[in-house]
Amino acid sequence: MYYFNILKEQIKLSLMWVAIYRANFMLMLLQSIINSVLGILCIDFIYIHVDSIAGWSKNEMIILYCSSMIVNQMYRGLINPNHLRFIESISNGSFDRMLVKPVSIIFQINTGNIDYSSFFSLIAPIVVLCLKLKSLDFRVTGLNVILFLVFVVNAIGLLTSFMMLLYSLAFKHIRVYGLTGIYFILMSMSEKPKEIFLYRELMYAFVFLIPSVPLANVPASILLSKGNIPEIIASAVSGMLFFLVSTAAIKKGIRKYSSASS
Amino acid sequence: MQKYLYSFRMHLLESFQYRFDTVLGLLVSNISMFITIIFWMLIYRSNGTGVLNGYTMADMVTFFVASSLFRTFILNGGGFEIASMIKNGDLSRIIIKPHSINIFLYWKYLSNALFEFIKQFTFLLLIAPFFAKHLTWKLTAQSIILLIAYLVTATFISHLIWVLLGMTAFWLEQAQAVMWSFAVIINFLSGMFMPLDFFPHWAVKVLELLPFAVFSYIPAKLYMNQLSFAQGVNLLIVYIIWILVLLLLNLMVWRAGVKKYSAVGG
Repeated sequence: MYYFNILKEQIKLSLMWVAIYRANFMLMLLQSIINSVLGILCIDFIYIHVDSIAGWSKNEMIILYCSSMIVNQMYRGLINPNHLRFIESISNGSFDRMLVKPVSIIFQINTGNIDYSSFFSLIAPIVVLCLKLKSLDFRVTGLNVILFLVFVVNAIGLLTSFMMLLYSLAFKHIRVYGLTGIYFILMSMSEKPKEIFLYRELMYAFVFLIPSVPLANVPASILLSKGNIPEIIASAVSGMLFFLVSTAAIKKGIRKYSSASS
Repeated sequence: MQKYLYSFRMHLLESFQYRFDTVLGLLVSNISMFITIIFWMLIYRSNGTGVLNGYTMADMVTFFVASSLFRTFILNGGGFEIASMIKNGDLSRIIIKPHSINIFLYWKYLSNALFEFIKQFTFLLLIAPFFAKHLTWKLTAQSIILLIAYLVTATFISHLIWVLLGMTAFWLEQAQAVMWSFAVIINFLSGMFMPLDFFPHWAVKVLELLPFAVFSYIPAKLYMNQLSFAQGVNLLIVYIIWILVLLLLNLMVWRAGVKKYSAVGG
């Protein structure tokens, strides 16, 4: 209940910020929607020249892209602003204030600000995904949809844990803004079919070391009834492992942390 | 002029300070390019003909490698900096100084661009032996001269566009959204995700005349010798006209913006 109340306050405060910069919010929302639309347009242009890419038809590729966008926008809306604030707090010393608060440090690192424009722009990929599902040759079952949602949640958790693990390097190197680029790489990889990895071993490396495959390929494959059991299990295991490792890394980092403020 | 060159030198030296971040940035940007290339290889394998819309696989790899190098000359930092100055009131301190903020920011971010270019070029030279067979080498003396002219033009156009967008902060206060919205569109229209030739034919003709194509598409085409010298010169004239138009717009928006500007704090 205590954490729930904190979350409620954070949601309220973020809404107040949106109310101050309304034009900015609308434009950010527009930007996110444009981003989704342009991505789909790119796929459209490519499929003028090919019928399928590694067994993925145009509609399936758009579903994969939308799945990636859903995970991306959820992370950008709910988690990313707080991760950025976390690495900033280490370099300017304001992390001290987080340490003295009677709230779990993992909770503080991952929650706080909400980027509503990114969050609401989820609508664009969701609408396109639903439209594309309707135009498929086969019927998507309720179980497919439930499993898809479960693995989208797993993907968001996995992405959060992975980025938290990377950002824990800030305890050692202080300035780690370059790491934010890894997030963009991860998202760029996730929207491409897993067949870009020619070898099975390489594909598993992108499940357990750099987890790009579980972010969109696994949820989209489940939805399209293309998934295979070992990959689905590996994604779930990867999600749990990254959560445990990232939590341990943050705790270890805190022990080494020395304040940058005076 | 000396003061701008001094700031240019100072910012160039500053760029060498954070080595961990620098190496990380270099790796990240190249991995991104590498993924795009691998994806296109997959498309070529699926297509089976070896040629897509007139591009062989080597052409496509060359296009993305050359683009990644030329994109380092996109100066977008000035826009973000001016937007931030307007928002937090720092502009008050700057406008009383005896230098033009626009020119100062241009030199500052040109030094950054040069640093990024050197970094990227050195990295590509180091790894070139491993993928040289996947590249096309069609650069001529004429195209080198034109290419340099294009890259200089790209620095002017990108700086002017971004500063113009940054100046919307005079009215919006928070201009980040405008800038990111345009960043997405500019990336798309400059051929970052795919060569503009993959767009519908009518659109290519229009897009070539817009100022965004100069950021990577046209220089990459020049590098690949897919654009004749005459075509290159004609398009360069169009982009020089764009510089004049953008300069005029910058001046008008700056004047109107400064009238509207009010700083918070003492």
